[in-house]
Amino acid sequence: MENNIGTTEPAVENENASHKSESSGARKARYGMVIDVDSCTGCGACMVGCAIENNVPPAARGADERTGITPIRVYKADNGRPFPESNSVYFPISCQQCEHHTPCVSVCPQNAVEVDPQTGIVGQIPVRCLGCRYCMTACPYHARYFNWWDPTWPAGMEKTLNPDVSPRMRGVVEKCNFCFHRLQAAREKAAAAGKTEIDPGDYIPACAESCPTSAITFGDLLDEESAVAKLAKSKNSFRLLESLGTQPKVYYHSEREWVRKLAESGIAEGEFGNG
Amino acid sequence: MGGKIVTAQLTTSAGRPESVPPRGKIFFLAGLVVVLSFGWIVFPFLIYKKVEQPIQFSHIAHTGDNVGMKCEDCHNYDSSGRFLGIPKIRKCAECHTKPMGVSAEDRKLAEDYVRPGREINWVVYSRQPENVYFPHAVHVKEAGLKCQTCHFGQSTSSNLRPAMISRLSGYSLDIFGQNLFNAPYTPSRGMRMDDCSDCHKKSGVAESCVDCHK
Amino acid sequence: MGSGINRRDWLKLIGGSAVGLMLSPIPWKVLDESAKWTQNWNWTPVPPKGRVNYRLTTCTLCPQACGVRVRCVENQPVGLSGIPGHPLNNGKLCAIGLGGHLMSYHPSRIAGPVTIDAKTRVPAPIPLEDAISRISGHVLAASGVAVLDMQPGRSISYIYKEFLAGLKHGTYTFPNQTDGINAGPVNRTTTSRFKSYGIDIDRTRTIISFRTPLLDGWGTLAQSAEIGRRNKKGSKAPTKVYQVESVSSRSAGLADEWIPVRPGTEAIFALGLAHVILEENLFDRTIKGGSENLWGERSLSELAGKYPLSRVSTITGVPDDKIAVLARELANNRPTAVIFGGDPVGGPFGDAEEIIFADLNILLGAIGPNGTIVPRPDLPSPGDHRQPRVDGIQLSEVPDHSIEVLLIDGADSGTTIPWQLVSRKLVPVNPRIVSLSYLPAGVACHADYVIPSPAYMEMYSDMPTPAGFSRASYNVSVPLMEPPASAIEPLEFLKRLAISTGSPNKASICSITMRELIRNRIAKIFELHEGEVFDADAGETKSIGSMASSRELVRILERGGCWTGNARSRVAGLTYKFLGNSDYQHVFSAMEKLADISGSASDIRLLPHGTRGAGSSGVNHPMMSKIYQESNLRLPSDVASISPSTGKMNGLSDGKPVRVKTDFGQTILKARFDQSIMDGVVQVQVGEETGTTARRESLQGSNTLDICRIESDSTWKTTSVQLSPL
Repeated sequence: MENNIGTTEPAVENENASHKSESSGARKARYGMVIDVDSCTGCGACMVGCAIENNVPPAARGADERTGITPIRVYKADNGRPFPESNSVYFPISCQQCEHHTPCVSVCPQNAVEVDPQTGIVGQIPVRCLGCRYCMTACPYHARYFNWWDPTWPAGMEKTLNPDVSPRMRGVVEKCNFCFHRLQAAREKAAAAGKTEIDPGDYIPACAESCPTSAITFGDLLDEESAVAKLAKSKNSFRLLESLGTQPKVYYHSEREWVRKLAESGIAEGEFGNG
Repeated sequence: MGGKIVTAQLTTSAGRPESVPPRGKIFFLAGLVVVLSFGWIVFPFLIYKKVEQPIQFSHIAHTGDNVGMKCEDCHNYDSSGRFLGIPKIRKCAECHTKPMGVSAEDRKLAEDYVRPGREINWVVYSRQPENVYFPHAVHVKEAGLKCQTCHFGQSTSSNLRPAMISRLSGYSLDIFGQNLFNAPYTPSRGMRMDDCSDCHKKSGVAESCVDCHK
Repeated sequence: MGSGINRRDWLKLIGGSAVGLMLSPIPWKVLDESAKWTQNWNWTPVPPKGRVNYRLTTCTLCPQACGVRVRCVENQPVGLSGIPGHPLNNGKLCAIGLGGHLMSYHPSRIAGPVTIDAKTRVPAPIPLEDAISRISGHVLAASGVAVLDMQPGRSISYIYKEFLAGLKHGTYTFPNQTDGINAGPVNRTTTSRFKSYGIDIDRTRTIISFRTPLLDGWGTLAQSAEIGRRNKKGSKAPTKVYQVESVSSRSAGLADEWIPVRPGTEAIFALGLAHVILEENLFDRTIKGGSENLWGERSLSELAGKYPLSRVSTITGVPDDKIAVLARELANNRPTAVIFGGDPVGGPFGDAEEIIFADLNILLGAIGPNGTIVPRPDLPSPGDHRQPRVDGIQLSEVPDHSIEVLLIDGADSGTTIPWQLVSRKLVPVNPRIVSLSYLPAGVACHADYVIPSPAYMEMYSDMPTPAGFSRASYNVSVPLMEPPASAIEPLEFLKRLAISTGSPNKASICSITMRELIRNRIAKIFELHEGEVFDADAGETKSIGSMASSRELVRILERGGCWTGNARSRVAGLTYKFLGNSDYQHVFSAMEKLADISGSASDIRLLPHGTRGAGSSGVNHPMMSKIYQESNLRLPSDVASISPSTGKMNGLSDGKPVRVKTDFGQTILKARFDQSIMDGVVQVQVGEETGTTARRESLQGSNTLDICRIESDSTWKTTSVQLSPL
């Protein structure tokens, strides 16, 4: 399979799109992200900001990296060389919002996840999930997390929950949804102000908003003037596991060649440089 | 021996009047009728309990010619365009710091709620589960739906009818439509997912999961 | 009619009922409602509903004073983000700051005044009155009373000084400054006399950092991001970053070049660079006459001469050609800055080392007319009558064994220091320690009494100039939530203590509230008539001159605004004293001692690693579990990272327990092999333990810092350890 690094061809036809009627008036969008891993310092602000925004509970007692819920997770990868030639990179990995042959959508027996034809967002509605975890197996990016426990917050902290996101119960799978509740809020704001289109600045996911080095650029990949579209088309932008053909809408960008090569090999290798 | 029995049976059959239905059918019908009536007449009142509102608020007293308020005077939006629903006590306190009328409800409002600053725990007829997202601004301001389309005749009611709350799930019968005897799967002017879905289809508006869920 | 009801009749009856049941709503309704019931358990919390509004304040969880935009539902904070355009953080927050509003609900929050049992460390509640009367008794009987202010420079700091001034033997102290550009060494090697310095990133083309986490946490968020932006390939105004440290830190990984040196040899390395610069005449030409100790006997060049490149290379482990190339890079790509220290849990360098770093700065022209190091004036005090009558001294300057009663403020958000630094200042018999924090964080864990203060976002507080920022700045943090009834503001506690101890200053201390105190200080800042203010509400910056009265400044600062003083011109007309005010012998012998201590290759050094402020205090908001417990992104404090060869040489196995023993104690950690770690180094996080979302029942205060070797000058840069498997 040829490397399609650097090209961006978001598929407009999508067999996984729901067959519901599309809006006649609204403009079609394809929301995506470009993450500059040369700027990522591995600070984890995106992980924390995302969890707070999306009402993810703090770790249950006994939760670990396998059973915890981190809709965006930063992985560290090394170039595999020993000290002092070792160099590392941090990859924040959320749901890659696959556009084509979306694996989780095609396996879900409940239709709990679908690709929104209008925005391209792969939206998961946890209430509908029955917890079979087939999607977790299907997702090649390990971007899906299961609620092994009922969510509990320390006493009083439930007052700080975000009203725009519903808390899940145990037994359902959840994942990054590109903070589509913020898109909903942006639409509401535009409607209240009498506008037909949202202000793009009103819709930014929590991870992109909280990144201290602004490594995450978010926007509409179909809008050629937008920063995200331009960056996605750049020579050194790439996607993870391109050869699988999932056409993810999350791009990465690095000037370092060894980092770009990592995208094909699988991120788990060399997580701490041990090969 | 056999002959006697046969004779007895023949006699019994021959002696039956024409208009009485067979015995089996009677029991069948009896079972059917009893359960049907139980299911349609008694059961709704078993599964739903009547919950009275804490205050008998009269919409017409506020929207009528005397005061002339409009829906959006109390049921308004905040600066981000989010609908605020039923107003907080501070809205009532704008006028009702002292009893204004003669009713006991009015005095209850002023003394039990406005003075101590206690929120009234209204029973919300249209309460939906957490995962449902309904933006009023998009429906009322952008699509131009009138309040009455979904909230029927609230603005002219003189009291608040008791809410019929399901004992099992805690949600109101209003979600299914007003009529207590509506069959569960008959589309009516309710607020179930299928009702929203129907209207979206008819209006040609987008209808993806992420449009209505959060 | 018939002979009675027989079975067939019953069957028909049941049949009819069944059909009726199917046609009635009963089964369908029950199924429907049950399904809804199972999806809406009543123990799943329901988010709050209501009006959404935004409020603005300043974060107090570390000294960097980021501006915070708080999203509230009916005035209850539900989410935080940075204030766009704010000079200190420009719209960003760190992982800890993003969850600041959750600190109030931390499961380990100390609910009311408690005494701590000395042995079990379990807290027991005590009524406030009793606590105050007991503490007053201790204060009155004590031979020495001190306040250890972990966040000096705030308005409350002046009140502590006032209180202490009314005692016979009162000492106001704070942890030794470790800012990245400490004032001490700059002032000792030049005739400059400012109290603090910052760095002007916009002017800097090259930065060499000695252990300062330049790209992951030092400086303000805006500065970090700016350095990162300039450091990237293809940047229009590139800034090269060289990171000199032994630890494989995130900054080291992101810098242009990581120069790994053996632990403790950083200053020798700097001396090697100075050697090349002096020998090849690459130093800044503005250093003309009037410099002492640059050439000749007892001079920097004589000292540097004792450390030729071959020797430096042997000591530090860096190849000598690399040292030469680097020195030329630094000298030829000016403006350059040398940043040293600022390592949140590594403590400051020794004063001789600091002099060498400052000298390097001078040689490279960083301090001077074209320099990148800029002075920052002190902020005014909150009132003329509140001039400090007790001067503060650094913790290292407090005489040993002189403190009987110690009051600690700001343990949860200030610097994390080894307890030894504090304990050696306490009297050996029955010292009493009172902590005014609301969490069992950092040094607060060693207290005998805890009088919990309100949490961040629950009280008025102010934030002075953060580390490294190029100008003086001032921010205010306002209360957005109600503190619990049992929380006591430090000022209120101090008032009760002043009355109870009959302090001569009690009238003055009791005359004011925190809000008035801060407003007084704002008025004094207004009177300076300089600088500009960032108005967070309006999103614009205006000069002080354009304001009619200080009331406008108060309004802006109480809404997330930020005052910044004028940028000072570089310090000009300086003369330099290259070996400082100390006897040259001291610097020479200190360097020799360092060269010896750096020891053999088989010596294993313990290097603690952590983040600033609340980050290393050991108690963070529960959402930090995402990066500590639910992923491998940050290591908890019970993991020791070593290179595979060091591990194998000591008989260790990856993932198995290891005993880490120093001359001062030992601890059991989990070994983790990592081939990017230097041989002979054990890297251990200070801060979050695994599972800190759980409630702590006792105040156990030990972390890796407590087994570090503390030198007589209160530094702890190198500690030798022995590793053994369990």
